[in-house]
Amino acid sequence: MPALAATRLRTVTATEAGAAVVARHRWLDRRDLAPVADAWAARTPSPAVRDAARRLGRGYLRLALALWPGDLAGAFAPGSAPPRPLVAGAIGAVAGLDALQVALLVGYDDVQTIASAALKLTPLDPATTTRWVLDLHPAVAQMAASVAHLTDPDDIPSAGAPMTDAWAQAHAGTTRRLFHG
Amino acid sequence: MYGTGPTGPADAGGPAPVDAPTPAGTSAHPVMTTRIALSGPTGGRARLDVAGGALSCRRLPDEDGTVRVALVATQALLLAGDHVRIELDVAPGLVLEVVEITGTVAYDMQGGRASWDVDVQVGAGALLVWDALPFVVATGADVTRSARVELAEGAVAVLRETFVLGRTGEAGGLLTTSTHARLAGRPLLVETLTVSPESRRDPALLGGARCLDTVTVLGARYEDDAPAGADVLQLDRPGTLVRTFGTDAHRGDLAVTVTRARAAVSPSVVDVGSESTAVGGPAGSGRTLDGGGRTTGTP
Repeated sequence: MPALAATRLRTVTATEAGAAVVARHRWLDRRDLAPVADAWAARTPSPAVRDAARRLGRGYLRLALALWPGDLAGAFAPGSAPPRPLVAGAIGAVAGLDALQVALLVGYDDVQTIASAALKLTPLDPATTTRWVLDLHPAVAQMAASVAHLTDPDDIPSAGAPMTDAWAQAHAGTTRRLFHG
Repeated sequence: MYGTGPTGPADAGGPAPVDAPTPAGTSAHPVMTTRIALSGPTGGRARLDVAGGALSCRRLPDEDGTVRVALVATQALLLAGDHVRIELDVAPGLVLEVVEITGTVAYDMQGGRASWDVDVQVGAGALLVWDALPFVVATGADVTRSARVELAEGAVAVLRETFVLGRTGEAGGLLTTSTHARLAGRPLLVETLTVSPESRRDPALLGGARCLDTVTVLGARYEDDAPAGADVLQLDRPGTLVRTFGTDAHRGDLAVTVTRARAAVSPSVVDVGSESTAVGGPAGSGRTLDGGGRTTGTP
């Protein structure tokens, strides 16, 4: 499990964190986020992964609109489902987070998600999974530092994880689903 | 003459980081460019201009309006210091098929490196089909591959890439390969993969597979049958990855996918090969313009 999280940090999570950092930058510049969405989608070949990111993005957006209505009102089309990294970047901007903090947040969230999922699947002591998360902090920090400077959608990392994409599709297609996304 | 043999000083430095810029040629190791340009009026006599580098081109007989070109290696490939570049340009409305005669082995580079870059332009309504033969990464190889594909509106490319880690009994070397495809000026597919013993061992990357075989359909969706066990990934904008993870480079699994994809996107092109019974997907599937879910707003 820790190895999986570490691989994700080098691949799909770096893409998501990079997209969030660039989204934050463009938001602060009052620029269109569509190129960030395009860049993220082109780097996310699995429809199951994209669908999950948009479901999560919609949830994040609902929460963010309640917390920062003045800042976010009208930012996204009503009923739209922007992918999570776009919303994470926008939230980072309005909450006053810097680029590195946004990237750390995305990295930590992915690691913690895996740790939480592991507890649901295997009879582990929660202290064990908490230790994983702590031990992965250097990898999270390294990933965040590698994307914090990004401002151009074309520069968002694109390292893929082919078998992860295959799992995502298989999981989305199964009738015995355990998780959303 | 182009290129050099396996002699000469090895490039300094360790493995290239992911997303590293492609090393350019040096005076000792110039870039060896093969260029194929297909032009001419739609429906008229197509004009083919070729210039050979490390790979020379042989025009094959046309088939039902498809211009076919074979790539033939003119020297031992791929060795330390080799910088192969292939440029393809297909004018609007034309159909080009690239045929490979042999696969490619990236040999032990003894600390050196090589690069293999493909640059593709496909005009409006044009089609490019390239069913590449396996690219074998031998132990000691260190290769950076890139494919840049620019598709005009209504253009389609059907590309196959088969990467094999090591020759029989070998662990294999390091390949970093990236695809940057744009459709009508917007990103369509951007993917960087590392093929190495480490990524083979990683369950989330290659999951033990020695061979990664992908048919990439760009500018259209492949909605036909795929071989059992293949993953079919529909991209956000019109495009599909059909991918298998294998233990060896046996040909055939995805060959039929190339044939079917081609039939689906070019109903006028009839394949005369052994898979002529293959049926395409719904007519015009994917030739539609972008309907990819744009879900973003403007601050």
